[in-house]
Amino acid sequence: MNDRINRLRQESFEAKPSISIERALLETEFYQDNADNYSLPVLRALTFKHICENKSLYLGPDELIVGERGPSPKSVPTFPELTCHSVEDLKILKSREMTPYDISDTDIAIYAEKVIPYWEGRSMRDRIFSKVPEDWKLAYEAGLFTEFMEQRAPGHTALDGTIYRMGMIDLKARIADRIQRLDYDSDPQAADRYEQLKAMDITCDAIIIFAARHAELAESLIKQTADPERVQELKTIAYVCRNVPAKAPQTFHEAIQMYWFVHLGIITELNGWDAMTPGHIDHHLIPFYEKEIVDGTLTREGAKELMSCLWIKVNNQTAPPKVGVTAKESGTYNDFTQINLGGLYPDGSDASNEVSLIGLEVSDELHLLQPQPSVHISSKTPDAFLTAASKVIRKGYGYPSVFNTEMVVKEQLRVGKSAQDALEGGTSGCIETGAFGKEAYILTGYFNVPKVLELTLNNGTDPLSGKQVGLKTGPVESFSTYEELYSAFLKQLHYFVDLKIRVNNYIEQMYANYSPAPFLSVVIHDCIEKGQDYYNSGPRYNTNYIQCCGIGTVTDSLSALRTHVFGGELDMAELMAALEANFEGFDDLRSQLQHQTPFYGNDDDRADMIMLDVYGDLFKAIDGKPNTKGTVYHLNMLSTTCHIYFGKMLGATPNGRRAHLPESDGTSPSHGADVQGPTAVVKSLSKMDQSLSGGTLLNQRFLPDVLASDQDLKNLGSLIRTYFKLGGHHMQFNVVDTATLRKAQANPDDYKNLLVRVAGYSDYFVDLDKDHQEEIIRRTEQGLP
Amino acid sequence: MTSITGNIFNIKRYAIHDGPNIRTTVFFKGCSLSCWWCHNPEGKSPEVRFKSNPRQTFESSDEKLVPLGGWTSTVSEIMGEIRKDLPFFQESGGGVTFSGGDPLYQPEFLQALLKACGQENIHRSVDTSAHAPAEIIRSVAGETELWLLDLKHMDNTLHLKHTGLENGLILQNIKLLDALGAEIRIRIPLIPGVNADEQNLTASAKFICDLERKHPIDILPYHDTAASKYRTLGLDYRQVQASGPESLNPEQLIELMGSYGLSAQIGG
Repeated sequence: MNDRINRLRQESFEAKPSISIERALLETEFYQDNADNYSLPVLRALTFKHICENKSLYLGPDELIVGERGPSPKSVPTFPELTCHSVEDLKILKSREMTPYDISDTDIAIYAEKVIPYWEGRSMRDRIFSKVPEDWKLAYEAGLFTEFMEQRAPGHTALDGTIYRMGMIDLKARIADRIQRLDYDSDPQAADRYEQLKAMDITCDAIIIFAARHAELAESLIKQTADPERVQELKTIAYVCRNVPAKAPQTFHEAIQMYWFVHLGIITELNGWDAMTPGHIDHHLIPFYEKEIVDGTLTREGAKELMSCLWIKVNNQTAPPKVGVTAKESGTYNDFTQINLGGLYPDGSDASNEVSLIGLEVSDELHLLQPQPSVHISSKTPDAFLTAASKVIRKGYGYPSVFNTEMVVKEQLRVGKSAQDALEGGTSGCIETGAFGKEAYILTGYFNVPKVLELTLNNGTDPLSGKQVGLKTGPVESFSTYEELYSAFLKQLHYFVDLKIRVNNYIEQMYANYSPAPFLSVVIHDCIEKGQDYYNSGPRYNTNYIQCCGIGTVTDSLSALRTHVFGGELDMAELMAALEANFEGFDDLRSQLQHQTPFYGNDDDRADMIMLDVYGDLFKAIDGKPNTKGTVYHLNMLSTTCHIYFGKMLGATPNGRRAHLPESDGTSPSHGADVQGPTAVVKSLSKMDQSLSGGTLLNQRFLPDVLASDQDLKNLGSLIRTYFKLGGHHMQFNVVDTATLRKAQANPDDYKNLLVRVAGYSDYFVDLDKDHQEEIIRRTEQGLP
Repeated sequence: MTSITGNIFNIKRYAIHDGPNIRTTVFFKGCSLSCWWCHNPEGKSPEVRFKSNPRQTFESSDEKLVPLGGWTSTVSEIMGEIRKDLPFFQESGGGVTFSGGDPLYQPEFLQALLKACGQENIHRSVDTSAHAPAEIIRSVAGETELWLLDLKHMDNTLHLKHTGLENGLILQNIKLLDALGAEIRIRIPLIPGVNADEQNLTASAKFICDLERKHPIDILPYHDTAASKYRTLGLDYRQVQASGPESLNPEQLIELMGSYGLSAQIGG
């Protein structure tokens, strides 16, 4: 890391996240003057342009890649059109102990006066919550599921290689051509399409203006700069910002700046979940890299410096502050930009290249919160690349996460994507599979599977609140066999999935109607050709996911019921009494449940077959259900950090888990349930046909001793490759011992740099609240036998 | 053959330091030696607490106690466990390691398992003190791809003092296996105050050097991790303390071995 990068890194690391009200003010003033004058897409486009023309710019003294979403690093705008923070929300954000956001009292007062009154009743959240049915609210409040779209726009966007081949001027020409071909006689939607296309065209101009303003700023700084080297750099910055994004990039530097402007445009237009990602950045940058290395206009060090600048830029973009349930289940500064490295080129050949290796080096040296690198391993990936990745894994930052390219492709082929598009696809967010640059793959919310079992055991009543939340499927004493219990569980399951989907579809239609994203639509195929918005079936593929949580907890609980109640001596009434008492006074019973039950994660078919039943039934309940876009829902198996929130909303469970403790995460086994080592875990997980999902998530915590030598790394590589041959989608690692984590809890100031894998992303351990910290400590340590 | 039974105290998967690559290690009960620092004290006694695998029957409610009790197992049960990780052996080039205790303490059971693994082309490694009659060594050698042989002390009196047995048979067997052309890794547990002094280690280097073929050496540094096992078993735990001549550290031992043209590494 050179001095410049060291300084930029330090600045980014130390900057305190804060809220900027500038975007909200610009947007509100524009809406007040213009809301009635335009069609909605054009209004959104003009608002975006207004922000691009007027927002404060930032150009730091060491920067080579320029542009910030807020007025300075880690200053985050709000999006009142989606969720308008109340004065109380802002005060909580400012003062809360974990992940606070700074905001001045003056700004809060201005917000109260100018922003809040306008958006009351107009924001998406207000519109949604005013119309949802009572039964949905009951389930939502009981913690059966979450709703993703109530305060952040549907996201999960990754780009393909288009913007490295076409500038905004080229895309404007494509839009103009499409407008030319509109057929008003035979296409009843032509007028709508015209408004969409016109809006897209305006956003292209807006982002060109945004870049040109940076060029002007750089030029104005030249006059105040004495250092001849910096003057030259500022001249280059000005030159680059006049070329991109207007035109297609010609150099490595321009390619990165091109991406960065598009990234900023998308996260300024709306605050989509999982920010934005360049996807396979190494695939896109390698042609520029190779050409310039041959021409002698770029060195490897120079390329690494520019990539470091991009990494730091991503780190500067703190996640927009959330409120309510969403803040509870996702309290992190991380905005989940996942950068894919390696994998396969669209022609099917190995794609791990020099830029992939530089990406790993940059991630290792900077070890920042964001972006989150992932490595993509196919049967063609050379061992050298996997070893290079393993060396970074060993450092214990929790990244890179590791994905199976062949499975990512297979999952996409199963749902009907073309082979070419599937190969260009990858993973974003935590572990979600998508066709980069061509798909809106929308996560709609987490689903609490163990809670469904709890309701089944209580005839649809939530034991925590006493409210009738689910169906009356019969009192628990009436089940004389395991099969009867399980069939009641299925009835409840279908009821809640259908309820969730009904409301999802309504919310989805609201986004299509009220919150088009014309700039995002410009860079995602085939929005231009269809003349339709990203949120309204514009993309080539449109997929909805429900993310199912707690497969470990529910499997182990069902296994306990089958073993001890239906197949053993335990009286159901005694078990129910123990659950109600949270096992107080039932120590022996709890010990029996914990230690004498076959649990998922041990390569033990007695438990794993139950997991397969549940997984298969989740698939049947979700997969193929229609959404509003003429396409369907699929199943996803990740929990991010929601297993902690869902655990809080869940009483004691038959596997011996006490009330309110976290559920199992992703597709991982329950905490401490897997006692046969990592190969057994991998075998258990590979029993599910993971290609039926849009992604699974496996956390493994290794003690540092297990990855000490080069031979240990080779074995880790073999473990990963075997899992992938057996059909695994993803695996990620924490390499840290409990003693270190305990020390970090006691002396947080000494461990500010300690990154740990939380879910599909890493976070600073000291930024996690106590529940999340304990959850990580309780994950099974895979030590030396 | 599958009806043959034997006593074991654990089967560990993803064993990565008991021979090359990803392995499953089967720990046999019983050992002729009684090294007082042994980090697997549960392997010393040939007796078992359980009639069958308590993990299957959930006879024991505490996972930590399972290995301390041990159980009577069969060839077919162990083969079933070994087969579970075949894909990992194939991918990594690993296999099975028989350890203990000392696997040679139950030679018939060991040979039955070695044969069964051989029939399925699973790479076999035997981790042993090599204290056994020569004919057993010869016969096991025909069914073993890799030997992990402990070299504890070159001085016969001190060997007797610290392990309860003389070292003559052990050294003879190492020479025998060397002459038979067996693949061998010599393992030296580095115990301060017992065998870590320069005099013993120089003698060890000379002994290894004098063998017909050059064998790699694994240095196993002493870890103070077995104390809780001793407590649970109700055995006296003696803390290792450096006394007498100065102990060499692992790096110095690597250098010493290097000066004899031998290649040594830390860990195994």
